[in-house]
Amino acid sequence: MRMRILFEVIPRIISLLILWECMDFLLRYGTQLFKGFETLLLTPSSAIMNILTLVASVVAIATVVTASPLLYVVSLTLLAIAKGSAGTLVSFQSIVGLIAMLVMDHVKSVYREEQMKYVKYRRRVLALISIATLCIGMSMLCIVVATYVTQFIMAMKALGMGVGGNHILSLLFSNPLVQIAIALVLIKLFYRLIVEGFDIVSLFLYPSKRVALNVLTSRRDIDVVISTPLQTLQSVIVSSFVAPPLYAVLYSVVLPLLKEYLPFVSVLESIVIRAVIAITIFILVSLAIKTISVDLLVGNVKRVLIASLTMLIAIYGASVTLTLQKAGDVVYALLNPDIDTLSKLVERVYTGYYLLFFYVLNALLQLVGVAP
Amino acid sequence: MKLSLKLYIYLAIGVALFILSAMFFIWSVGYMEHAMIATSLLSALIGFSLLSGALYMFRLSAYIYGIERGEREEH
Repeated sequence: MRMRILFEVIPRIISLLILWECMDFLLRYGTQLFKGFETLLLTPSSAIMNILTLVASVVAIATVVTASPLLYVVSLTLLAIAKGSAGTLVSFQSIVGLIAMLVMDHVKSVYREEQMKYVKYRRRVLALISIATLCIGMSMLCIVVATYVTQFIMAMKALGMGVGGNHILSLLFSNPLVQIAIALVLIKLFYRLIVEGFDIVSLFLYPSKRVALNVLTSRRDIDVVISTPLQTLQSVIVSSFVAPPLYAVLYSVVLPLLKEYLPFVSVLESIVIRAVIAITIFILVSLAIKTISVDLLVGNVKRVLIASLTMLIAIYGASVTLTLQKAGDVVYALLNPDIDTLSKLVERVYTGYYLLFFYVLNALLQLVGVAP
Repeated sequence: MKLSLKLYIYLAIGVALFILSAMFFIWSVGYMEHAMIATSLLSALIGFSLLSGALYMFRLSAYIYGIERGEREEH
């Protein structure tokens, strides 16, 4: 029970010590706050800074109350932004405090009362060597990964400065947000792989026949669905090929037929609804292709068959309807589907569809301010 | 009991993949420095794939090691 109290108290003390600056601000200006915000806003040059510091101090108090590492980081970040102009960024102590808080948070979640075990070494030299290996190995791992990510980001930064001629590219690569995003992706991938690596090391250190046989004989662990990277992009590319024919079938064949019986369908012909339906078909097709590509990997052929048959039946049915409108004979129409006319329609829709797409894209870019 | 050859084969494949992945990671930084962005990102991706493949090989060899060593402990 005593240890549990320790885990609760130590993070609060650490955050209190490090974030005292924020709370000191609140204590000093707190009395003035009740009179109104005017006192804070009186000096316009530091108004934003004062508000940021105020928010940081409120978050700091929340950190001391909850002892959560996330709130600690948030308050430190706010403080760093508020004091950024003064040149004092995140201090060394606060980073050490963050590490301590994270360790405490983790130990608190895995610690179990009265189930302690000790590692016993028979020889002192062995203990020294193994602990040293662990420490040096961990530090080396951290240094190697951090060096790699830094090198990558630095190369990107240099590139962003180098390609002055290409505006979008230099905008993309000199943008700190893009750099942070890429660094986060790299770190997350490395983190997952390193966790996996530690798992494997523990398997080597404590070999157990039972665990190994359990894993190797269970189907659940072996039949893993591998999600290939960039699958969304792949499905978007394939659906940009598949979606226009469906749109052509809908608008050039089905809609005129429907209009004969239901006159109010002509509402669907307005440009806005056309665009909405075009985008909807595109999204639906890309979703379908995404699931189908997973099915292909797993070996679930039924859905693939149904999807391709649907596509074929749509094309065949549309061309049969086209012949039927001209000839009027059902058997003749079934035997001589007018694929030529349909392919001409589809061709027209390909250009029209992508003109619509580029129109929407251009409008979006103009809204954002990238395109002139 | 002598450990079987299978373990060492998996280990060797794992080590080879690991070295390859490290090479691809280094190449990706080099490509980025020479303004070959897509090549750089692609080689980083290949590096990650090879690294996870290497780790899978290590895991398999760890299971084999576990089965063989675990047997010896029971006797």
